[in-house]
Amino acid sequence: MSKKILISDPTLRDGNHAVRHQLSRESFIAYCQAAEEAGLPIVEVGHGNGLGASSLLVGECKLSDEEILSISRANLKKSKLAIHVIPGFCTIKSDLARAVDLGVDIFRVGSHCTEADITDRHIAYARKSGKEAYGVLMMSHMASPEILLEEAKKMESYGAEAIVIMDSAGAYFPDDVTQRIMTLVDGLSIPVGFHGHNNLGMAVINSVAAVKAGATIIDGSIRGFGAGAGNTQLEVLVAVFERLGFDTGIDLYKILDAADLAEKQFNPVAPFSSPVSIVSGLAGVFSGFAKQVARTAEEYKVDPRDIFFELGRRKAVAGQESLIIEVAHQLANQNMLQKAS
Amino acid sequence: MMPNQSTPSTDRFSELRQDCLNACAYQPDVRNKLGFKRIAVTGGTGFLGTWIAEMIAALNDRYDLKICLDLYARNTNEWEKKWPHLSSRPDIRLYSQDVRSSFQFQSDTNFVVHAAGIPNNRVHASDPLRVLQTTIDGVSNALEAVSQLDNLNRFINVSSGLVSGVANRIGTLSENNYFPIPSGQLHLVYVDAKRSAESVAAIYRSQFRMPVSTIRPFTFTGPYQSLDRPWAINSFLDDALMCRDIRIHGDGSARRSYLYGSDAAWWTLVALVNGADGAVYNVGSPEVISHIELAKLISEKISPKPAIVTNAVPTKQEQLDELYPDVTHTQSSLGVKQTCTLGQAIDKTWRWFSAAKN
Repeated sequence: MSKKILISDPTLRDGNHAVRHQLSRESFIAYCQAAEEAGLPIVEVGHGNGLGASSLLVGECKLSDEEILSISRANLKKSKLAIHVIPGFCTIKSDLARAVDLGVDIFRVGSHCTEADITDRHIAYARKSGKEAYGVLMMSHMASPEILLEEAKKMESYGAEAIVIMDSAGAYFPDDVTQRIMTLVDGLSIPVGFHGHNNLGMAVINSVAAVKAGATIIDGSIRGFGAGAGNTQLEVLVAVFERLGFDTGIDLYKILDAADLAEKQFNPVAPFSSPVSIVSGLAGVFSGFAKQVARTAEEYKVDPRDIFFELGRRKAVAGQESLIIEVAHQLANQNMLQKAS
Repeated sequence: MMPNQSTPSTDRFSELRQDCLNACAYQPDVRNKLGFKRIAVTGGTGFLGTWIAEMIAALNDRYDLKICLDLYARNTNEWEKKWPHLSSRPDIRLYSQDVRSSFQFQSDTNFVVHAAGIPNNRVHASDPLRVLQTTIDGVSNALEAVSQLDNLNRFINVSSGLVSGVANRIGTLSENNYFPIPSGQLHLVYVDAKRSAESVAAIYRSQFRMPVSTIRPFTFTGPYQSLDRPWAINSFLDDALMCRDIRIHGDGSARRSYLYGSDAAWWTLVALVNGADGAVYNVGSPEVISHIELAKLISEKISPKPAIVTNAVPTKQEQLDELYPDVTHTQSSLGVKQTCTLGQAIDKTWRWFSAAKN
């Protein structure tokens, strides 16, 4: 019997990063219908940073959370509707409660990889509401396999029914993934998943490594539509898994059709490993910083690659966007002093 | 889906009163030995403490035993408001006390049940230091406090069935079964600390010749349980009460047993009166059931029956997950028996929470 892999598709959530959270109503409708048609088990939607995140700091979303969830729910019948939840952005009383009412099936509650404690109440609320709750450890390359397991165990004890580790910076090589996934699978009693980014061109092979190490949930975005260099490319992933004999339950032709649709509808240029995103992967910095880094670098007349490496040295994480300006300012001053001397 | 109409209870508390009277009916000698005594319970507003309060109220009202009960807890306000039928009684007194700090019992206290602890495993991984301090400092402070008492008859250290460790085999756990517990793992700090607390209790018994016994509770159920506590039976009941699918963590093969609250309270009181110095008693039900069977039992409470959904990891061999006691020693030494079967316990618990929901 072939190994079953549950594919979770964050195209309409992580992909929103790629268009500064400007995905349109039509895009949501068209892609939800295509995903449903292809048999995708889970479709994740929302602002790139998740529920309640739309703001000046991380980017204002074209559509409100309520619009996104209502539209998506109306167009997903068999596929489960999932959202990304980061406590801090997302409040329980207004955001989570509304998402429950609007029919979200899976709440993927995330935190920085060493701060799982903050997910306690959100996971418990989702479970108490009868919904599925996953724990998501972001920027997971910043923690050792042992620390990741400790944090994952916290989430498991809060009621998480699966743990997904995110390679938010696209920094992993297959061996890194294998070590971490094996440690988690061995130490947890719930399913383990992997969410890749493609900064160093490793997203698909890292996902394969994850499955071989015991992961059973894999994230993939259509045409890699996602933050920075993009995510694991879904249609490639499905094809590769099919070749390897893993059962995703997804119709290959229809997911290829969905890729064509995405190209026309909202993703004319597939994300690629730009020089800056390669550096972000090497520096281990969140891919979603890429646009702001590029903009700030231009403003302060500094090399964006220097910004990324300095952010990496400072161990910057998502939500610390203000550091970009601080680092650019510091680099500009250093450059000025060098020129003066 | 609609909850089935079980036998309606006109008064939620009258059924609990009868449960308590049934649980203590067969041991009149123990009842008499409790008469005119003062009992202190730390962690007194938890499940066991609340059932002991219910039991003492029943004993005093039915048999006029004039027992005085002192409940010590970190936060007593919520309990006081939630259960006025207990908190307003003159024979039950509440004391706000964190056992991590040194404290004193009332000077005429005869019996102490030290039940303070944090069994909620959500806290174990998040705040292991508090779990450790509450367990280790708590038992030390409580034993220091009882060392000041002139009329102490017995101190019961409430440990946990988990101290037996991970058996990874099928069968009951006796008081003498010990299996490895990996050390240094934060989520196991509660178990580690409970083992240490048993050692602390044993040291006070041996070094200071104090009348100390230990009970090891396994899994309990019944009214006064908080359904948001992350244990399987609570989760199943909560799912069923909300008329939604019952979701099982794992493949459903894990097995437990469930002792009803009134039996748990009575067994504890019997250990207080008849326990032997240094003895350890398992407190739990001998009636074993798997999670999947338990979910089916609970699913019958609503119509149409909800689906039962498992969450097994397909790539992983499920470890044997068995946690239920051998109570032969407890029953023969203390003369206790289970008066409420699993089926009755589920019925009663269901009625209680259904009534609360409605």
